[in-house]
Amino acid sequence: MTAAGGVGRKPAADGADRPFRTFARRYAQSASAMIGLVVFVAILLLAFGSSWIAPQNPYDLRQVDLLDNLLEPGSTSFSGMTYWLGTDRQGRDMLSAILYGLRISLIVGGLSGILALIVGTVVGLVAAYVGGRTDAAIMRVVDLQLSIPAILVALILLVVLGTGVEKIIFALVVVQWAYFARTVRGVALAENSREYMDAARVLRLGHARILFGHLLPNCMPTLIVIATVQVASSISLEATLSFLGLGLPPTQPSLGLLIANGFAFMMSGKYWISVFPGIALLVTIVSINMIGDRLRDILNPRLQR
Amino acid sequence: MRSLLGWTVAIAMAVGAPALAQAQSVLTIGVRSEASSMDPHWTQLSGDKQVEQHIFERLVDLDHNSQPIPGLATAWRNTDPQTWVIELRRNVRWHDGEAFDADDVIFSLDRLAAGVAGAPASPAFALAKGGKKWTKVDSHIVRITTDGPYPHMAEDLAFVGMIPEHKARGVTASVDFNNGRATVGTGPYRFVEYRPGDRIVLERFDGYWGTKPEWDRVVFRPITQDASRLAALLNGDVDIIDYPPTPDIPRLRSDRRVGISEIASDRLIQIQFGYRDIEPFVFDKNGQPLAINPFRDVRVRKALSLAINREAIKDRIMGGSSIPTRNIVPPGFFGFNDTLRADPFDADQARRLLQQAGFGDGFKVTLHGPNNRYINDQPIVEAIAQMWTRIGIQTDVVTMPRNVFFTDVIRGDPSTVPGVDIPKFSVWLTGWGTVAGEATYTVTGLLESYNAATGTGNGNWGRYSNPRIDVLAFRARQELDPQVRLRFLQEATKIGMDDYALIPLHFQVNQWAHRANLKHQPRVNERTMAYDVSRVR
Repeated sequence: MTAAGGVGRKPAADGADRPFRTFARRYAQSASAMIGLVVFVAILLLAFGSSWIAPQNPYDLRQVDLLDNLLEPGSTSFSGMTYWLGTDRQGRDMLSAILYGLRISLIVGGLSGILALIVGTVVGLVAAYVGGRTDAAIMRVVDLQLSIPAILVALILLVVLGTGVEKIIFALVVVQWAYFARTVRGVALAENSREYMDAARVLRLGHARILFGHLLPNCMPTLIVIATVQVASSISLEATLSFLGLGLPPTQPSLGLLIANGFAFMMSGKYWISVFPGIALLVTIVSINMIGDRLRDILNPRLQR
Repeated sequence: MRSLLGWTVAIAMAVGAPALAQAQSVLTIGVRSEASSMDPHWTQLSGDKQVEQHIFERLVDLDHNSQPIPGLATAWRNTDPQTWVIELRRNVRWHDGEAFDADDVIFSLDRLAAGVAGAPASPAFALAKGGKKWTKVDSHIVRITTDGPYPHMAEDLAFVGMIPEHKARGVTASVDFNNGRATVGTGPYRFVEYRPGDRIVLERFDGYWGTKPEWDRVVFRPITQDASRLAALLNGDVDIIDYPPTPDIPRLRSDRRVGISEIASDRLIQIQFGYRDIEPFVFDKNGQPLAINPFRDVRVRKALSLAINREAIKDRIMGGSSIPTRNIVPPGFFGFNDTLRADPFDADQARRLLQQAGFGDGFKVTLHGPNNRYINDQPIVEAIAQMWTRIGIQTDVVTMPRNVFFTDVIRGDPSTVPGVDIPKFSVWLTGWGTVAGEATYTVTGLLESYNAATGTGNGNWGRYSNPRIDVLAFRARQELDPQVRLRFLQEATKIGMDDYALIPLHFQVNQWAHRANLKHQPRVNERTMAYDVSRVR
């Protein structure tokens, strides 16, 4: 990767004109990254178009029929509808349930990733910029947070708060902001001693302007990379929590809950109830990680020699 | 080579022979619910009782159909309507060798009446309620007097484990029963160790007065995940499991390594309603709280019952193993009413009834339920939500682990209704086992008006109240003539069911899966007892 990055690197003046183009060209140099991107875009379209694409609205209980339950993939219902991926214990069409479940998983993962990014970034920037005791205090809190397993914190929070989409997002933000805070502080500390920061301070610009106008943009490359990774990890964390029965309501299953429901049938050979949602989850997370890997290769200065 | 082989054989024999001679017979039981305490006066949860009752015995025992049989008492009889004389079994010894006598009985009943610190109130400890006196007549006769006729004395005595006065004096908390200090009983097995979350180990008591136990050791292992518990049986980690997952039953029946034992349960799965003026989880179509409680209208309750396809639940969710019903005790129990048949599925009539009640446009409810207490509890709740939504009552589902659910149902929400225990929910799925083996317990528990002082209505969490049922239940409790009592109980049941005080769904079928070389005689009350399991010879 290092060699490829070196070959593809153009003189700075050229790239400065059209930064996005350069970026896109460099991204496209990796076939696996392109596959990841295409798959992820397809998943996004499927998930957010699920209301139109899915043969059934699995959350509308009038459309779900218990008498159609546990049908094998490819079976046909009385009303003539084909269940391409079979049905679950309640008679939900698995294909529709997966599409709707993907949407919930992506919304929960995306929203909590973005919120954690905002919280963590602000905290990290402030710590690096202010320094001294504030920095020490904030970083000790971050250390404490990082030393406790995320799943444990999330479980405790959900037991206390109860279940629901907004609570799960809250729990995921609580367990993830610290990763952002720690990384951003590290990058910001390095940037803080650069000449452009000295220049900004000499010009007596306001703190907010220095923080968000000068320091933040220069931390962005790193942030984008962690954000992708963290979105993938919050999707899988949400799936884990739902699998443990602490996620979303059973009538609106996310991917994790679908897998958990199917788990009870694994021993009786009804593989489709958990295997297909499992594949959907796997493909989603792998595609996000492929994108994240490539972004890291491009944006990480240390790999750009 | 030969000498090496010879040595190997010699060593194998030397090591193996004593091992064979000492080989213990161990029965390992994989259970879904872990016992929460070894204290016999703590709760009446099946998961607790099935372990603790190997160690501690009752004066009256229950047979496989939950009918009373002699235990530590050999006979009990009325000398007059308010006096019971109980004769104790002689030559019974505690596990530490001390003799069992009337002092232990008086001590045990006193401790039950005083209550165990921190114990959740159990409806089954009816003897602990006031108005009863117990006295020692001689070393093996006890007299109990009551403030009125008390026909179900034997059934109530079957709930009270006998503990040794010489070990348990001064033990008010349960901890000494869990660490083994006071865990000394008269039962066929003695306590060895209790490792929460891992295992409970019992050992044969050779001085047992009754049939000698078959197993040297009994190990209870909690395995809460259904699929994992079944896997543990199939790969030989455990010898028998309770609640084999229903989707697997058809396959297990044709598996020659496995045997299935089953019996109709006394546990009624039902829907209960909240009867407050305004219910917190009932809304109009737009999600605004309704100003009236539609569940107070019997037509609404009936419509909700008719909307449920019990046969579909039986076939599609329960793997064929449930008994749809409109009774509150199972067939064969005293008080069963043969004239009541399970409601047929009739969505059209349900819609008409809703129309007549003025709810033709439907409304919105949240149906609550536990997700790890009853067989397929969450799938049943989801299926009912489907069926109710079809007749226009948009139903959301919230399920939760048993401990959270029952705290919210039984203790309720003190912040909204200070001092009164009323459930947080408006309509919920729950279960009720007629552990006493006859219907007085269940009519009083489920249909009679709630009264904290007398203990009636202790399973009537929605606070249904019907004076006609109250009168019949009261008279049934006082009536010594079984024929008259039966009539009272059957009539009270009919009134309650015609009024849809609750919606009965089905009785569970208790199932166990065990190794094919074992034999298991199942119990109506769901408990897995080591002395019900024997080797096929």
